[in-house]
Parts: sequence; structure tokens; C-alpha cells
Amino acid sequence: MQIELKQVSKTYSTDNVTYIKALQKIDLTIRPKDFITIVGANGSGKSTLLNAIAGSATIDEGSIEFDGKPVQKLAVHQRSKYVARIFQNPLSGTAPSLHVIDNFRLAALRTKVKLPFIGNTKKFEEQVANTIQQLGLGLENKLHQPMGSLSGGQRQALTLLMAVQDTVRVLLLDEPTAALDPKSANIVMQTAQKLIEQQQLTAVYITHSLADAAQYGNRIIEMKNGVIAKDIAGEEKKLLTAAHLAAWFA
Amino acid sequence: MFYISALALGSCLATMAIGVFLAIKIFKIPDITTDGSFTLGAAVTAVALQAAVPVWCVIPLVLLAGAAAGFLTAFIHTRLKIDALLAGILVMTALFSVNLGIMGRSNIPLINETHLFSTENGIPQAYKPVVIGTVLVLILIVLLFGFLLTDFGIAMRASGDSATMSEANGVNNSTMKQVGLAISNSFTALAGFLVTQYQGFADVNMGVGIVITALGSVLLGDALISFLGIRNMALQLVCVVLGCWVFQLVLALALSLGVNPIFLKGITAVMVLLIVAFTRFKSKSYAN
Ligand SMILES: Nc1ncnc2c1ncn2[C@@H]1O[C@H](COP(=O)(O)OP(=O)(O)O)[C@@H](O)[C@H]1O
Ligand SMILES: [Mg+2]
Repeated sequence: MQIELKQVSKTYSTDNVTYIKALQKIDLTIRPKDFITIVGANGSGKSTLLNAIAGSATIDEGSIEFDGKPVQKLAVHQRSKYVARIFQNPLSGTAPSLHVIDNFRLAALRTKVKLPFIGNTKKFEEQVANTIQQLGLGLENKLHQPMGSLSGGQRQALTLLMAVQDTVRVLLLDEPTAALDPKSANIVMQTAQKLIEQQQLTAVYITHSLADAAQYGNRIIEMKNGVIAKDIAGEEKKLLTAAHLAAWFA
Repeated sequence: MFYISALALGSCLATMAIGVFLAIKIFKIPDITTDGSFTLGAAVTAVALQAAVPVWCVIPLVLLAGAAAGFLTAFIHTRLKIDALLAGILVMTALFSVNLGIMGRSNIPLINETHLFSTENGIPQAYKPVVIGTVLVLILIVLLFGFLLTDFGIAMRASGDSATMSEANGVNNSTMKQVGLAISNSFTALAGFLVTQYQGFADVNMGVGIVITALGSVLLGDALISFLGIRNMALQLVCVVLGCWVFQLVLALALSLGVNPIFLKGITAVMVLLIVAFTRFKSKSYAN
């Protein structure tokens, strides 16, 4: 799916005196199967950009189109048909009181109508257990435990798998590993890369890790004060190393 | 035999406790439409019975009326972006006039009307409210439990548990709140239906402060759930019914010890205060 932002602006104000221009006339075309990494200092507008695409931040100006269809007026739950999200807070993508299996059931219906029929069958359960097994964390034995009894790293890894339970074309990842220990972070990023490759997803990945930014994706964007300062793709991106990126921030 | 009448009242109020438990603990909406929707259920019951509507046909009417009240609160809350508590107070206040309008006067006694507790069915008169009320609430629990296990039910529970997660998975949280409060208040109205027949009249003031009784029952039920570590939803709902019974028993005990009935509402409030004070340090739930 192609996502097109035209002249998108977003200004925040908490006191009506000071105004923060989180996004300033952003023009950006995310082409199908792009895997974009986004880097930039804290407060440069990276999260706001993803929130604008997903609908959790309403934009003040400009337009956002999914495959040529304007979506500015669509709510988050409506846009979730097209985009799946992984949040910076590893607990945000799952419902803590619900059992692991119920979380997966809802994720499997992300783009569908939730009917008053029981869909949580033995067959569905087996399917989910098989999916979860690939993480190698033994979570397939915890399907009937509340999601809240698992660690942040485990929940973030499951959020990723939940994202691909239903048809998905775009994955938005906002610092998915920032709050995780190195081992969990590794599991999450490897799972993410595998899913993006296998399912040929369009992905946007915000990170502070310059090593990750250099390693992943076919395109890299640097944000600065609400504007896109750099946008590098193709061969030029391939040649970028973490050291090059570090120089951007020097 | 004060405890028989306490259990009777507890059984009649149990569906309300279930309704408020749903709103507060499952859907996480502080809804206090309760006072109004309880009396609404009573008003519809009294007027329908007077018009000789068969009692089994009164039930769907009562449920619909309660659902409409709950929907209205949720609609005001979600569409007009008004705080849920304020939306509840607004609807509760407006319902006072609606209820008076439905009843045509402030009190309707049931004298010759046949109703649930007046018909002869082999159950001793004193136990009728307990038996019939309990059977009714158990049926409701089974239906509700089944409903919460469905895909739609999962969406509802997720919506109350984590709004971010649910909307990211295509759930319209506003719709869920509307359906949730409709269900919750239809249960509350059903308690009004039972209490009207139990006490033999409907009064436009009978719902005043009833939300506190519901809250106390829910808190007691919730304390029992945490204490026993119960995770099964059906059993949790049963605990809420037990909470409702215990609440009425303690109230009745206080009265039997010679407390002046004038202070009933005051005791109710103090009891809830004590329950809150004792349980809030121990309540454990999963942080978001
Ligand atoms: N909900 C909000 N309310 C007020 N200001 C906000 C809000 N979200 C973000 N901002 C501000 O907008 C700017 C960009 O934030 P953000 O997009 O989160 O940056 P980043 O993700 O790059 O660290 C920051 O100055 C931030 O303080
Ligand atoms: Mg951010």
C-alpha cells in the first residue's frame, strides 16, 4: 500500500501561549514494500508522524492518502484496517486483563467485524500456539494466562505476532525495543524483520539505535524540528554505516 | 428472621450489582445512571402490570427501557465528549421527570395485579423472592458469560481494559461504551422490576442513592474475587451476587441491632466507605 503525506502540519499547545510545531508541511511518499527507518533527536516529531498516519494525532493541515484515498477523517479504529502498530510502550499493544489467547483472537479480527459468536475454538488455539512457538520463549503454554502476567519484552514480541494475525500491509513501529533488555530487544527485532520480509510488508521503523538504522530497511529518514532533514534510499542507503549516521548528529 | 428479608432484597438487587460490576470493572466506565434506570425499571413494571401486561412480557419492556437510559448516558459521554460521571448525573436527573411522567403520580401500589411473587407456584411465600431472584440472576450470568466469550464480547472487554490496544485492532470504543452501558443499565432496570414486585409498589424516589448500594455490593464482590483469586468470569459474577447478599445482610443486621431506620442511607454510605477503605490497599490488578 502506498501512503502519501502532502503538506502535513501538526501544532501542539498545552497552554495556548507556547506552540510546538511537531510537524511542518511534511511531504512524504511511502511506497509499497518500503522499509523506512526514521532517526532524529527527541522531540523532532517522529512519533507524531506515525500518530498522524495511524490517526491518533489529528493533523491541522495537509492530507494523508492510503492508495490515493484520503484518510484524514478516518478514526484510529478505521485506519487499523490498513495499518498495524507496535508502540514504544511495550505494554500498549496488548490488553493486560485479557488472556493471551483472547488478545490473539481480537488481533485475528483486526480488519473484520466482531460478531457475537464464539471464535476462540480449539483449532484457533492450536494455530496461535504454533505461531507463538517460533519465538522460542515457551509462551505457547501460557495462552490462558492474563497478558498482564507476562514481561514487557514478551508482550512486545506477542504484539508483533498479533499484528500479522490478520491481513496487514503496513507496519508502524515506534521505538519497539527502547524499553526492553538487549535479549528481548533482539528477539523483537529479529521477529519484526522476519515478518516484514516474509509477508512483504511496508514498514516504518523509528529507532535511536544507529546500528539498527544502518542495518535495517531500504530507506532512511532523519527528522529535525518537525521537518524531514534527510531522505536517503537505494544504494546510497546500503552504503551508510552507523558511523556515517553518528556524523549526522555530531 | 431479618436475614430472610435481607436475602430477598439482596436477590432482587443482584442483577443491578451485576450491571454496575460490568460498567465499573469490565467496561471501566464510572456510570451512575443507576438511580434513574433502577426507578425507570420500577415505573415501567408498575404501569405495565396495572395495564394487565403478563409479567413475562414486562421483562423485555423493562430491559429495553434500561438499555435506552444506558445508551443515552454513553452517547452523551462519547459523542458530546462529556465526562462519564456528569453524563450519568444528567441522565439520572432527567429520568426523574421521565419516571414521574410514566407513572403519572409519585407512587403506584400493586394490589390486585398478578406478578412474579403473587402467583402460586409451590414455593413458600417468604422464599419466593430469594428463589426467583436467584434463578433469574443465574440465568443472566450464564447468558452474560457466554456473551463475553464471543468475539464481540472479547472486543468489549478489550475496550474497557486497554483503549489503545482495542482501537489499534479495529474496535470502535465509543460503540462499545454505548452497548456496554445499555447492557449494564438494562440489568439495573431489571432489579427495579423485581424490587417493585417484592415491596408491592413503585415509588418515584425508590432509586435515590441505590447506586451506593450497588457500589458497595460490587466492592464486596470484588474483594471476594481478589481474596479467592478467582479468574473465571462466571464465578466472578457469582461473587458479585454474594457481595450483594452480604451487603444486605450487614445492613439488616445493623437495623436489627436497633439502629433507627431513618439512618439507613447514612449507614449504607458509611458501610461503603469502610469497604473502600479496607479494600483499596489490597486491590491488585494488572497495570497497563
Ligand atoms: N500530545 C501532545 N501534547 C503536547 N505536545 C506534544 C504531544 N505529543 C508530542 N508533543 C510535542 O511535539 C513534539 C514532537 O514530539 P514527538 O513526535 O513525540 O517526538 P519524537 O517521537 O521525535 O521524540 C515534542 O516537542 C513534543 O513535546
Ligand atoms: Mg517518540
